[in-house]
Amino acid sequence: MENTKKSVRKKKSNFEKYNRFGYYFLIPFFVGFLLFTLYPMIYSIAISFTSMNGWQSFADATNVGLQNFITLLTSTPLFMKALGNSVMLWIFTFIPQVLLALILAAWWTNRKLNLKGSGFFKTVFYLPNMIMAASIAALFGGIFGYPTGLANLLLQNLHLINHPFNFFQSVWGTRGIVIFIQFWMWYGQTSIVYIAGITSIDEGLFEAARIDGASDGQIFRRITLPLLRPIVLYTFVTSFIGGLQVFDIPFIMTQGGPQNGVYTLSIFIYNQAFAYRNYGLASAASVLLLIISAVVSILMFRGFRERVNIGGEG
Amino acid sequence: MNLAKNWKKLCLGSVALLATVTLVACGSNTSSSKKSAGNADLNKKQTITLWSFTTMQPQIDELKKEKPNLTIKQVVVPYANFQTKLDSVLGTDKAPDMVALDAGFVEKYVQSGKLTNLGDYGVASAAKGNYQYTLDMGKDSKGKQVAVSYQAAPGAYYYNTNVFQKYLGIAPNDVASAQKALSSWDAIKKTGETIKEKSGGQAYLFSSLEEIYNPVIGARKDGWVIDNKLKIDSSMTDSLDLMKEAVSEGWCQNTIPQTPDWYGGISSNKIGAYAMPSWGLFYWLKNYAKDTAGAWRVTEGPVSYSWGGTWLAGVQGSKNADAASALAVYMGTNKEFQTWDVKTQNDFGSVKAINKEQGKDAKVSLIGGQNPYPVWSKVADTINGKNQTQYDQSIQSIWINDVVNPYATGKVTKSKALDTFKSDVKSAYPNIEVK
Repeated sequence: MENTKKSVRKKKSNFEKYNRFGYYFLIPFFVGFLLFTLYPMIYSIAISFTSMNGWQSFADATNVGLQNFITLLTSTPLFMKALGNSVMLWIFTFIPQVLLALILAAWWTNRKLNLKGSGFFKTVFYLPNMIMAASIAALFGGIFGYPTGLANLLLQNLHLINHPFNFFQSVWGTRGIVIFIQFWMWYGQTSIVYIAGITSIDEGLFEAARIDGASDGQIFRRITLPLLRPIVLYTFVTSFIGGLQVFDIPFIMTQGGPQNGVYTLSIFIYNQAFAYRNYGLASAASVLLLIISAVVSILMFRGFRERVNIGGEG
Repeated sequence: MNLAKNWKKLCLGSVALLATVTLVACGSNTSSSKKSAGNADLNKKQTITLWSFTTMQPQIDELKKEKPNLTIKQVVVPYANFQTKLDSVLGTDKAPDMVALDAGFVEKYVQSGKLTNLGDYGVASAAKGNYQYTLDMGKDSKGKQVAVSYQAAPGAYYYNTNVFQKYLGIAPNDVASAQKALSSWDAIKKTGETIKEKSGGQAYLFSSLEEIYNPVIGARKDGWVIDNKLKIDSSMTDSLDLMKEAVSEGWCQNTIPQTPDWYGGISSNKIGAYAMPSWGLFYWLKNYAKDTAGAWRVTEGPVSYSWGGTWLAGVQGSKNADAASALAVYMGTNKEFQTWDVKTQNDFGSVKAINKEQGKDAKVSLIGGQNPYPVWSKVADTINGKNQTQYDQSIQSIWINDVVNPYATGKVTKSKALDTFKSDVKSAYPNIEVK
């Protein structure tokens, strides 16, 4: 009797020993997270309640409570414009991006079409995502230059316009270019995510549908899309959070563009922090960005979950 | 058996080691007010760290010859990151001893209170022969000289004699007539209209609006902020209408400055004149003139302004602030160093007499053998160095983006543009009074 008790206790302690090692291996990650993510985030939130600016350190800064937030929301038209720009640019980017990605994913996972060389094309479509933003911005800056950029020369040669068009002095011209670049950089990545989603759907469903005589379109609309909904939600949320933070392309091309047409929220925060050195305002704007991202994400997840509970179709 | 037993410990140990590596990157942020132990003797054996935004290796090599015991460690931080990197170390023990500051942002550091007072290192007497505007730009609001420039950068118009001869009938070496055609903003307007008319719209007087707004901004009487109030100098609002006409009547091509299209116009024989600083001659014009080399001439234009230049300063509280301050004064005023710089680096130095001496018989083939030094000296003597503030870099870029470009291209009305400008300046600098 005592023997078995002892052996049980020994087994237990061996198990606990294994457990402990798991925690030990996790410690480096948590240390890194605490130091480089959590602490700076809390520090930024703390700064947002002060009027820290210029050469002041946190210790010198005066506490102003919610004044920064009030100033941003009520008497800073540039902030509201930047927020509007970020959301608008994202909407115009995301819709074509999702549509094209869905179409591409549908084609690539279609057994009947059995497209050749899909590996090659997937690589090529994903490539824009890997090129550095600075190079892309410089490239497009050159292409759309006025008056002798490639685009102008091409349009004039095709007799579509008579005089060169100053893209970077036109608000919608610049917006169009930024939207196109964002779309071009991300549709490949989105389509690969959708392919992964589609291939994870049970083959049996497709077979059953085909046996019942469903067309490709019907299969896509009735089976693929509804089952793909969690993946689409994922891309929506990640794209929204990323889209609100678009910085590199508009900043490098036109520093916010003609008449602040592509002045995004991130450019606003960057300028406030590093050009004008109003760290309090910049941190407050960052906190607002965080709140907006969190609220929209929560709403999306909430909305999705309700649908599933009701019956999965919608 | 042994390895299996100790395997976990081995893994754990290496993971812990990797974790500590991430912590090594964390530095200390103590603001030290160490008093330098050494004195300001540059002949003593010592090391100075210098942060610059462009390489100063030629200057460092020359200094090695003149002061052999002095070792200068140069750290080049690209212009785009320079200020953010410097701001994070000023006042800590990671700060460099000496900094090179570009004209675009020199005022910010001059007013910061973090630079040494060069008056303690004899700058007042040493810099007696320097251009006044360079000294004014290096003085803080209390009148202390905290930075000194080793180059001066007067701006001027470089005009293409091919274009001026063809459309204005001005002979290539008749610089006086060219200066007459560019002597005032009204004269410039007439010249621009003539070129456009005679060329049938194929040629332009100016490539970009920068050719107008850089001289105007540099020649202002008042800076952007006076007594903590935003001031828009009247010459700025006057110039807006001129720029609008320049674009609408077609004598300014309205390219974006310093882009391939702006540079391309230099060799195209379609652009009449460019506004460039003295160093633009050996930097931009030289690289892009191609077949038009020799056809250019320089003249002072309607106003005196400066564009660029590098100021040197010692950083308070750094390890070798004394030697750095002495070196800054040396580079900005010493006869031997300045002579070498002007002779070999094609720089327009900061000491009047040396420029005069070196520039006596200078002939630059790029401008057809013309001697640019008299033009540059004339401009440099009359530049207003008191219209600079620490807000300049930001406010100027807001002015160009919110007012100049949209108004000149007819996209907004003048009052709306000025309102947007004022509200953007207000959000950038909440402490400035904006009416």
